[in-house]
Amino acid sequence: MQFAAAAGGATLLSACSTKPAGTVPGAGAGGGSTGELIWANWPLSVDTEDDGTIPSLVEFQKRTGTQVNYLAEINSNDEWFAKVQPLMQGGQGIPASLVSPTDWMGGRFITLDWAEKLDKAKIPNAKNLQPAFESPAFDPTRTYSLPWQGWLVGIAVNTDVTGKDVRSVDELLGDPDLKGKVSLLTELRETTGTLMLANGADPSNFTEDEFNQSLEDIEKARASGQLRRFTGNDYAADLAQGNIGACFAWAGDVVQLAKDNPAIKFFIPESGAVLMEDVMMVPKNAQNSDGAHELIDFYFEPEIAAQVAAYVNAVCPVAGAQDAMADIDPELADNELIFPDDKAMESMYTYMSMSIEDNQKYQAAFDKALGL
Amino acid sequence: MALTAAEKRRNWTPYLLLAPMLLWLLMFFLAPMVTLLMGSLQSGSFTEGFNFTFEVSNYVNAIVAYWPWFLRSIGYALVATLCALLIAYPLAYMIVFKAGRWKYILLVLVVAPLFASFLVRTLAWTTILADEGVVVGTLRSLHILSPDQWLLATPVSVIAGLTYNFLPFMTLPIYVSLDRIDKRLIEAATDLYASGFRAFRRVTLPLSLPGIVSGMLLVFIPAAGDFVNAQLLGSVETQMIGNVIESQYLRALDYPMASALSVILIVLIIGLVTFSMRRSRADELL
Repeated sequence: MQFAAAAGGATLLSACSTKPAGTVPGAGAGGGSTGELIWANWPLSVDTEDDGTIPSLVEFQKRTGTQVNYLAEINSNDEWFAKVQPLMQGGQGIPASLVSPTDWMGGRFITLDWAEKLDKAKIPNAKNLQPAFESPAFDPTRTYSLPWQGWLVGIAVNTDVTGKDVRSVDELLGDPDLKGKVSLLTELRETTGTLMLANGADPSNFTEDEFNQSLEDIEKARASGQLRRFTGNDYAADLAQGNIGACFAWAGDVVQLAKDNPAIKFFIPESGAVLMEDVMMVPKNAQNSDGAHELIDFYFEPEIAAQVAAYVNAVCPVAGAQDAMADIDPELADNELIFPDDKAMESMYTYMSMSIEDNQKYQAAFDKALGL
Repeated sequence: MALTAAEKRRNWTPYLLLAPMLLWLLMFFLAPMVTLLMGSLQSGSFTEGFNFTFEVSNYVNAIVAYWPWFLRSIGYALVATLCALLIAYPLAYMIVFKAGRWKYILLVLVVAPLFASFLVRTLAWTTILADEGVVVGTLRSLHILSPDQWLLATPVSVIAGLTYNFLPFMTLPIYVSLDRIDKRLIEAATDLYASGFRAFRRVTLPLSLPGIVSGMLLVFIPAAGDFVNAQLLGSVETQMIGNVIESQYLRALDYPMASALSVILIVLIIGLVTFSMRRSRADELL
């Protein structure tokens, strides 16, 4: 999830990022069809060249003739929701025929009956779905969604600052050497889910007490001065500059940070990690539902998925992509943060699906802990 | 007595000329304000829908729950305004009286940061104030900060960000009023045996007051409602009322509460500004 510059700052960002980013220039090798398709997604969550072209979408247009407009309009799930809500509620639908918010926002779409059922007959490549992604809490039967990218939440460490690895949440929040050098994420699920795992609770099925315990952990870390702040993905700058020694982070980001600075490492917490995903989902009244299905199918081809994974570095939800990656970048093919092995997969948990009311209640409690 | 056609037309002309402005005000000022006010008096929930029930208790709840955040925002904004004034006045003074042929280049430099995005400018301060950066390093070697102290994620960095981001809005009005001063008045003061300082205090400063007042308004008002600086440069302990409104609106989906908080902020700012302007007779200067 590219939570561009945190929930707060993102308003401004989104205000200037509504223009279509990375429209594929006319390739036209397919001739015939001149379909168009708008895909609402996060900024830079797809293979992108320096000049803004998106090779996988150029390939898609070559094959199908459909021109895809990659609309990088999701900077924060909540803001994007505020934007599409009046349109969806009014029944006229949104311009995008394919949307890729985070899973829980996808779950909200399902609850509000804003999502179209996927026609699996049109997505034969769905057979390549990684087993770990088969049955998430928000859409257990994968009736409405397939995953776009997986986002593993864990502990990022700048060993130049800490002088050691930080492998557990207990160390992160308890080690006096890290005092004032720790940050957590402003995202409800990422932060409380990881904390609940450290307390032995299951984030995919928790009680209110277990949730409140995670807030108490935050309160304690805040009172002791262990915790410096909460961040969106601006933790990347803090970590690279050494303002923060260790923090909750998204694996995909850290793989990229580590390329520039080998002192930066990522650890899956010993107690387990929360696995989030950005979805591929067709909103109700989509203008080009067929094209959206075609595009989903296209991205479930292992070769194409590998091409995206080589750029995005998130957890790849497509089986067989690891083999395809070996041809592109053998080193990345061995990266267990992009292609976790079965054992690693076992320590990953999705977050419980909540009704909008529960979400409001938990979000309000969490925001209190954030000083709001 | 019947009016001639020409007279009738003349009666309508002023209104027609005003129409675009009035329409603009109606659409972009009055309509949002009324929507906000109506929204703040609603009850209900996101899932069941909000209804207008004249729910005044929203205001009571907002004040009871969030008065410390209002206080903090006003406090930060005031300090930032004063800091901006202390930086901007000498700067504008220098540009007007001392810069000579560099005047316009310096003016461009004052405005130049506005060409970069607000977010980028704010994020740049995380580098300037970084723990291993120049500022903190210098303060540590001067023993103003101990080795386990820092500036980021403290009120200092939030106020620094606010001051910096709104500095041009203080500098420009002060520049304009200083530039408008008839230099012969200052010469006259010194001819009449006023010292340089006395001439400044009795002539230059009073004549530049309109600029100071406008500058203070232009900095204080946006600073009090800002949430970006607190988000990117602050911590849990430095959240401002803008952050609360954002969280209530986008994350908690409590639109009435968010609206009530916004209305209170607007009223509070207008109240404070009017009061202090009356008090200082500043309104007569503008």
